Amino acid sequence: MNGPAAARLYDEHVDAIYAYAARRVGPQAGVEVVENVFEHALRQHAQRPAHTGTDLGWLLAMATAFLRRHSDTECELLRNWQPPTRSTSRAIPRVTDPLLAQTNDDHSTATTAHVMAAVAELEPLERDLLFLIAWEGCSSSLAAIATGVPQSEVRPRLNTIRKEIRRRMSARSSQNPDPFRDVVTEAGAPTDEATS
Amino acid sequence: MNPVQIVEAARPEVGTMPPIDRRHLRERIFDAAIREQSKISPVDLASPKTRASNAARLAALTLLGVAAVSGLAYSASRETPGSRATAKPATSVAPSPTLELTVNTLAQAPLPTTATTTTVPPIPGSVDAPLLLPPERNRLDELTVVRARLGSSALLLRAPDLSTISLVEVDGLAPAEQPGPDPSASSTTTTVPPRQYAAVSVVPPGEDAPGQYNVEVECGSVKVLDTSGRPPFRPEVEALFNSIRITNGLVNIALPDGWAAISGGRSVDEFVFGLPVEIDNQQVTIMVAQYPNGSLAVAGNDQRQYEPTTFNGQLAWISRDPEDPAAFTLLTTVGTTAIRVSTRDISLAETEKVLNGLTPGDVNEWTNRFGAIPVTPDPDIRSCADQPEFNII
Repeated sequence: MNGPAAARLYDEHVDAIYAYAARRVGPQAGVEVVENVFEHALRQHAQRPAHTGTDLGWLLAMATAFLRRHSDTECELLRNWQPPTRSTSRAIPRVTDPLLAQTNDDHSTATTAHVMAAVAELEPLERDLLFLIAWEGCSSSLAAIATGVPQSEVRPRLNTIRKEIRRRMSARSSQNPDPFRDVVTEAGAPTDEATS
Repeated sequence: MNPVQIVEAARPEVGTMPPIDRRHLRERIFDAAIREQSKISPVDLASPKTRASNAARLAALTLLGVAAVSGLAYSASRETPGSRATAKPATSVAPSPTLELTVNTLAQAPLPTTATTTTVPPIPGSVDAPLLLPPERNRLDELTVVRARLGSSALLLRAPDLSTISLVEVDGLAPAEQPGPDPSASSTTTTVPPRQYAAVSVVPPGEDAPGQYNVEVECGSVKVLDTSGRPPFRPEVEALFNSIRITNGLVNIALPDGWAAISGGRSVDEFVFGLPVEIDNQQVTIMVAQYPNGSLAVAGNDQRQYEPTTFNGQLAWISRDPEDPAAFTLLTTVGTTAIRVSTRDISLAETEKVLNGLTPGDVNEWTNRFGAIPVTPDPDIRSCADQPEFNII
């Protein structure tokens, strides 16, 4: 790949790759992943596997691979998940009863925190698939390219992941039943089909 | 909500990559891509040496040998011009996204040539390489490109008292009609009327822009920039105003005795970067502004006071801040490019070394390394014919 082609590849995809990496492992490690991905892409361009299809799919595959180096960081972030702070003017201040709002927020935050903790316990490949689809909005084909999972197996595996998260949360809820009871008792509900 | 939906709802919002990281990495990638082009990739010999792979290699070599011998025999027996077998490109494997995606390719040796090749290093400041670029992949502190101002030009003059005065003219609209005073409106602000000189009227400096005079013209604007803090309408400035005649937009300046024109020229694109360097274990940033095919007048179109000095063996102009003696701004030229260097805590000799260590390049290389230069943001708003233009008599 010549200089201008490399620069073009970078300009077109750096934002997507950085967003994917930074969401999973934070901004600092995200930059490191981006560096690794593009340096590797440059070196390996001539040997690029045919099955990687689009440039984005190829880069996501490498990013997913390099993110494995930061699995510890990712799992720590997931286990200590904190709701994002919204400081921009786009956040409309709530005017409902503060006590009620606080309770709702607390409950929702606790639920999400327990889901994230369960996600941290998933196999790395399952996390890859989950985040590519849930956070990056990847299609089944793009997620398949990025993870190496056959496309026909993406949706079934996502279903398995959902059940696995529930199973882990259920196991936890038996020890500490309060905060995420709603989600656990929801297991097997028809709403599952919305994302399957 | 099921767990996947909860995960989806918890999607963190991340901004874009920090600009300095993004730019730095882009430079490194571009540099690496250039290096890749200039070398032949080594053949990877690190594939596993298993019995199966050795057997496969042996079989492949045998096949290649048989094919080569057959091919030679066939070629010797029958020449078929124009019909050449094309080898299939090396195949790629590695379906999983692991980091060890190395596949061997056969490096194609370059064809032998008897042609003589010459490499002429680019000349700094030449038409082909008007810019100086950092040779290494430094993290630049600042990186901007400012497009040339439409129909603008500058002059840098030196008065008999050795002070420097800058002039700048910009094309533009005709001045708006001044409305008459509104008797019903009461205001405490006072407007200082323009001063009349031999042939021009001059609007005095405002409180927010000391030392900046506006010469009244039919179209656009003409500014005279004296150092702020000097007495307004000092004798040298008044002598300059008295020497100006404007005819159909042409600003004729008959320089009085003792005056000299240091430089003059049209506005050109400005390329700026801040280069961090280490001098005596201390980090110093050198701001380098470059004006390809530009003039010192454009590079030094400000209110600083410049004195002559020698830089790289040629006449240059330097301005030192009385309140910060370690800082200086230097105007110099490299070939056809005017350069303004602003830095502090570094000697002129060290600055020479740094500048001489920069790599000549062109706008394409700048664009490839740092990204596209901005399109000109100013639309052509010239609505009248007599646009200003300097003319030294």
